[in-house]
Order: sequence, then C-alpha cells, then structure tokens
Amino acid sequence: MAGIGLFATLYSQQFRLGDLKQMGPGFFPTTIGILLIVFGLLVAIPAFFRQGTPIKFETKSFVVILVSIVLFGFLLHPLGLPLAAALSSFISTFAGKKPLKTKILISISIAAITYCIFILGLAMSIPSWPSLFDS
Amino acid sequence: MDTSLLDGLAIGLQATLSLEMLLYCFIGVFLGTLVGVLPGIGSLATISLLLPITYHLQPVGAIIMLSGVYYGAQYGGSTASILLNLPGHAAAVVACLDGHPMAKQGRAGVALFMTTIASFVGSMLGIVVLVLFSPAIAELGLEFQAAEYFSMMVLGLIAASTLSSGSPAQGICMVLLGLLLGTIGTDVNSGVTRFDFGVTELMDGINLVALAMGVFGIAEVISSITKMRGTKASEKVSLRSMIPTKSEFKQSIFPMLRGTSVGAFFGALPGTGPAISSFMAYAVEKKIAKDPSRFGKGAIEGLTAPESANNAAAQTSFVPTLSLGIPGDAIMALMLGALIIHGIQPGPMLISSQPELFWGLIVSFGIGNIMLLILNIPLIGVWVSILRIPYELLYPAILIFISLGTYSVNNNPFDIYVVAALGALGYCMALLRFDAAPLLLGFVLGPMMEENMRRALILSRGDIATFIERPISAWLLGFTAVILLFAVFRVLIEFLRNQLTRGKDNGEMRSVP
Repeated sequence: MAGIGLFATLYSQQFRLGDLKQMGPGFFPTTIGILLIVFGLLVAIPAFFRQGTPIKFETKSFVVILVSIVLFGFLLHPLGLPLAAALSSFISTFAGKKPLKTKILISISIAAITYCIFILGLAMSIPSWPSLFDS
Repeated sequence: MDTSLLDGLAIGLQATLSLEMLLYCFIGVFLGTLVGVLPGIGSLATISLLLPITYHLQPVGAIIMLSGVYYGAQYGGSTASILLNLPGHAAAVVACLDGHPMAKQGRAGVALFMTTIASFVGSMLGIVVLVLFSPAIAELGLEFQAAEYFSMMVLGLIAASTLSSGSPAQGICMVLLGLLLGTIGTDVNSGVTRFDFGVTELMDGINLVALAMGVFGIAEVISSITKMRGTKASEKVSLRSMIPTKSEFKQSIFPMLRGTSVGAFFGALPGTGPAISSFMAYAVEKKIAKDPSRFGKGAIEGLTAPESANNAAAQTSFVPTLSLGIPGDAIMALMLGALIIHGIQPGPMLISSQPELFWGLIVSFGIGNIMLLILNIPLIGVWVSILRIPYELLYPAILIFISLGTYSVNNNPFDIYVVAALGALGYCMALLRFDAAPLLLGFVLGPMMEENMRRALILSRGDIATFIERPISAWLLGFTAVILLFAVFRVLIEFLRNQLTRGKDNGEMRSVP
C-alpha cells in the first residue's frame, strides 16, 4: 500500500546518504551511515511483509503551507515584513475553509501584529517596507 | 561543592527576586499554559520560537523563561484532553483516558481542579528531587572524562529511541538521522566542511531552531488543520463546579504521591521524559487498584497520578541537563542549545561556576509553579474559552511566527527554506509514525559525541577498549546493552504473538506494532 511505497522511498534516501560518507574526516559519519543502513533495513524489511495501514496524506494542507512558507522567505527581503506576512498568511488560509473576507481580515491583522511585535516591540533588524521606497 | 543547600537557595532568591526576573518567569509560565491548552502547538515549537527572541536577554532570564514554557505547558496540556478528548501534547494523552469521561459525566470542573493540584504537588516534589540530586550527580560528573561522556550519551540516545513510542528500530533510525544532520557543516577538528553540497549557507550546519521548528512546528500545523475542524468546547466551567468532594480529594492523595515518584524517577533518567512517565504512572495505578474496571470511565486516580508524574518528570529532567550537560529529551536538548548560545558551557562545573544560574533557575521553578497554581484555578474559565478560538484563525499566525523566528537567528531567508524542507520531512515522518524527538536529541548530541569519542580515542592512543576498561563508562555501556536487549526481546515477543494470531485467523488485518 501507500505506506509501504513511502517506506521504500524514505529508505532509499537513507542508503544514498549512507554511501556518501567516504569524504573528509569522516570516521564518525561513516559509522553512522553504516548503522543507518542496517537499522533502515531492519525497519524496512518487516514493513514489506506486513499489511500497511492506509495513510492519510493531507496533500492540500501540505502544499499550501509549504508554499506559503517558501513564499515568505522569498518575499521578505524585497517586500519587507508586513507585506510578506500579509501575502503568505493569506495564501496559508487556503488550507482552511473560511470565507474570503475572513481570509483577508486574518492576513491583514497578522501583518499588523507581526509588525507591532517584531519591529516596534523587539526592534529587530528586518526589512519593513519594499526596498524601492527606501532611499 | 562548597555551597550548601541554604546558601544556594539564598543565591537563587537573590538572582530571581527582581521585577525583571519575575516578569520573565511569568511570561514563560503564561505562554506555557497557553500553548499547553491549545492543541496543535506544543511546548517544543514554542520554545524554539522564543529562542531567537531570548538572544537579547541575559542568560538567566532567558533560561527561566524558556523553562517556564516547558513546565507551564505540562499544566495546560490536560485541559484540552479533559474537555475535548484532544491532548494538548504527548504527555497529556493519558489525561484523555479518564479526564474526558469525567467531563462527560459533568465533572469537568473537578477534573480540571484536581489536575492543577496534582500538577502542583508533582512539580514541587520534583523540584526537591532536583535540588537534592543535581549537586551529587555533578560531583560524580567531575570524574567524567571523554570516554564516560561518550558512553553516557550513547545511553541517553538508546534510551530515548527505544523506550519512547513506536518501534525501537524506528527510534534508532531517527537518532542516527539526527546524528547525521548534526555532522552537516564545518568539522571542528579539521576544518573540513561536510555535506554542504556546495551550499555556502550549510557550512555552519543546520540551525537548531530551524530543525526544531520545521520538524515539530510546521509538521504539527499541517496535520492539525484538518484534525481541528469542527471541534469545539461547549462547556462552561464555573468556580463552584470545581470544588471536589472530600472523598475525591482523599482518593487522590496517594495516587499523586505515587505518580510523583514514578515521574521523578523517569524524568531524571536520560531519554525518558514526561510522556513516558505519565503512561507508567497510569499503568501503576491501574495495577494496584482494587477495581481496575473503573479506569477509563472517569476514575480520578487515573487522572491525578499521571498528571503528577508528568509534572515531576518535567522538573527532574533538568537533573542530567544541569548536572552533566547531557539532555534527556528533545526539549532539554533545546535548553542545552539555549545555554550554549548564551555562552554557558553546560557540564558538571555548571553548578559551581554559575551558581546564580543553577539556583536562580531552581527558585524560579518554585515561584513559577506557585504562579501556575494561581493562574490556573481562577482563570480556568479563560483557558476554556481560548479553546473556542478556531484553529483556522491561529495557524497562519503560527506559521509567520515560525518563519520569522527562524529568520531572525541569522537574518538570512535561506533558513526559512530550510524550515520548509524540514517541515515537509517532519510531516512525512510523522505520517509514518517516526517519532521526531530522538532526531532532535541526536542532532544536539551528535557533535558532542563525535568530539568526545575522538578525544577518548586520542587519550587511549586509538585503543577502542578504553570505553570498557574505564569502570563508569563500562557500567553505562552495560546499562545501554540491557536496554537494547530488552527492546529486542519486546519486539521478538510481539512478533511471535503476531505469528500466533495470524495462525488463528488468517488474513485479518493487524495493527502496526
């Protein structure tokens, strides 16, 4: 089932990591790599022989959340904190089921809150407005 | 150790009895209770979120606040368990078993009141254990050399991975993965960068905050969004409904004390924390009860004993961290990270070299717990109403806080991408029932372990037998072997049992062990 497939991919990744170890002052990493292969197999092999329980992968939440985080990282420097926060939290609300009005309201208030806490309150050095307007 | 107990407490009082420290302590326990009450955001995520903010504070205040979040969350965690049957964090799972039935019988108020009392008793006695044992263990720790440290860390990691939830092999995999992630970056001994894949940002290694937030924070948010839809607390809890009857109170005294001792013991062991303690305490109560069938139907002992246990464990888990510099669980690993970031080298010297930190922290635990008692009993209604805030309003804010918190560590957007990647990884692992806590522990201990192993081998001129020849080290490794054997034994038994049931009814689907 789906679980078994995922198990396999997860472990193939670990094997690759395990073989990369020859580089550098790598006694410690090599040891760990080998151990990881052994234990990875110990988990994976029995997993193939038993019926997996179906796994519910929340694809929508997964994608929406990750996109909004990456977007935030991407926009933070060019747009500044409040705008980036508003945009990416707006996107993240699409994982839920609220009317559009609420979504906009949520993202605006989050932008305001983060601005107050992090820039006014803690005086962190974060770009606060689009760099175009800075002279 | 030339400072006696009373001197120590005096130092601690001096260090904490300022308005500033009390404020940090209050913020800590307040936030802790808040995130404890709210399912879908745990104390680990909160502490990693606060970590970058504490860079600007002085170390004692920072640690006081972060610890406050930790034990504060132990108080709050049971609220959602009782009212919604939705545990606020792992240690509160047990509180669902008898707490929720009590709420269904209309005894929610009593349940909430008694958990607070039980938490308070457990914590206070846990602090006593912490005070009595830490200096002694630190003294023992002074004799530790590299070999002993290495063996102790092996013990901690094996204990954490095999005794925690899920299968031991999966736990060990996570530890190993954590160790591997810990090797990313520049090697301290040779200056060679490892596993940076040509990415400049990876040369300093993965950021602890990014790892913790990704694996715990983001993963929690993704899996909570759908889970939380449509759950609402409808109960109104009045102060009057909270007063327990005399017999309910009497019934709880011994369970609380038993729970505390179970918790204090498992908390101090490396690798076992509040979650395991609360399960153990529940099992103990059920075993010695005259009528075990009452459990699961609202037995008050089933609620108070585990609640005392997890709070006692939360306090005593500071023992190995403060006295040896070896964290027992993922949260302690974060605390240790916080200490190191503030330039304090944890280890057996900590108590004598930083008395105001050690004793200040202990006094702050006492004060914090009193604050929690005050916060929890009259304000229980407030916490209950917080449960009515829909999660859909909360999680976008949590996400932004997580991203921003990570960013602020290095002021580099790259860390935000790391969080996203680790969050994806963390979510997949959680789906496959891999516990992320051993991973974090391995990540923090990895570099220390490598360094101590190398140092031990240099001291012994490459003779690997040094780990067995030195008595303390041999004991620690022997204990590790026992735990491992026990785990193998458990798996074998389970396997055989499964084989038997399979023989009986072929083709029926079995649960994953």
